[in-house]
Amino acid sequence: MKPDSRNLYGLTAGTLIGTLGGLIGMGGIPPPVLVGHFRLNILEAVILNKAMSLVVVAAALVFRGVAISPSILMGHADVIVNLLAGSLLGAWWAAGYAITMSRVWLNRVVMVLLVGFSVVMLTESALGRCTEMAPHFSRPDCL
Amino acid sequence: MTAGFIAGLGIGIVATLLGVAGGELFIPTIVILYGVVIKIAGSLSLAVSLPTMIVGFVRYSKSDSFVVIRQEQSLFRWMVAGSILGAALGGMMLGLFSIRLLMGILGVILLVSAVKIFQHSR
Repeated sequence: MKPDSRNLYGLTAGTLIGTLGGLIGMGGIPPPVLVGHFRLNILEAVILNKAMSLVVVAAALVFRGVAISPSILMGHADVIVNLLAGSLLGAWWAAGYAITMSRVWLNRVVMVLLVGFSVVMLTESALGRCTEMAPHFSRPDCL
Repeated sequence: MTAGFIAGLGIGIVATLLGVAGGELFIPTIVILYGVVIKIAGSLSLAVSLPTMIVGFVRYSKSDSFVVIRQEQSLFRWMVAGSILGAALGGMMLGLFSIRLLMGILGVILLVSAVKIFQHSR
C-alpha cells in the first residue's frame, strides 16, 4: 500500500472503531485485521492495537458522557469497583505470564462465551423487554 | 460480589492475553449479572476497561516490540484522529438509538467476533 492510501485506510478504520466505541462502548479492532492490511507482524499488531484501544476507550468515555453522565456512572460505582478488583488482578497476572499459555484453548473459551452472549443479546433485542431507561437506571425484569 | 470478582478476573486475563479491550465480554456480563441497561453498561465497561488496559500496557511497554509505535507514527496518528472523530460521532448518536437496537447491534458484533476467532484459530 502507498503511504497516503495506508494513512487514509488508517483514518477510516479508526473512525469506524471509534464510532462503535462511542455508540456501544467497545474499544478495539481484532489484531488480525491490522496484520492483513498494514503488513505488520502479529506482536506489532497487538501492541499497536493496544495503544489504539486506549485512545478509543478514553475518547468514548468522554463523548458518551453527554448521554450517560458521570453521576449516572457513580450510581453504579459498586459494579465498577467489583469488576475492576478482579480485572486489574487478572491483567497484571496475564501481562507477566503472557505468551506461554495455549492460545488455541483460550480462543475456544472466548468463542463459546461470545456465541452465548450473542444469543442472549439477540433474544433480548427480539423480545424487547428492556426498552426504556428505568427510573433507577436498572430493572430486575430486564434479563 | 464473588461472581463479579471472578468475572472481572477472567475477562482481565483474556483481554490482556488476546490484546483486546474486553468490552465485548464486559458489556454482556454487566447486562446479565447486574441487570443494567446496555447504554449504561457500555459506559461502565469503558470505565473498567481503561484502568485494566493501562495495567496491561505498562507491563507490556517493557517489550522490544514497542518501537512499532514510533516506526508507524504516521499510521498511528491517522488512526488516533479517526478514532477520536468516530467516538464523538458515536457518542452523539447514542441518544438516537433504542436499547433494543443497540442490543441487536451488539449481538451481531459478538457473533461476527466469534466467527473471526474461529477462522483465526484454525
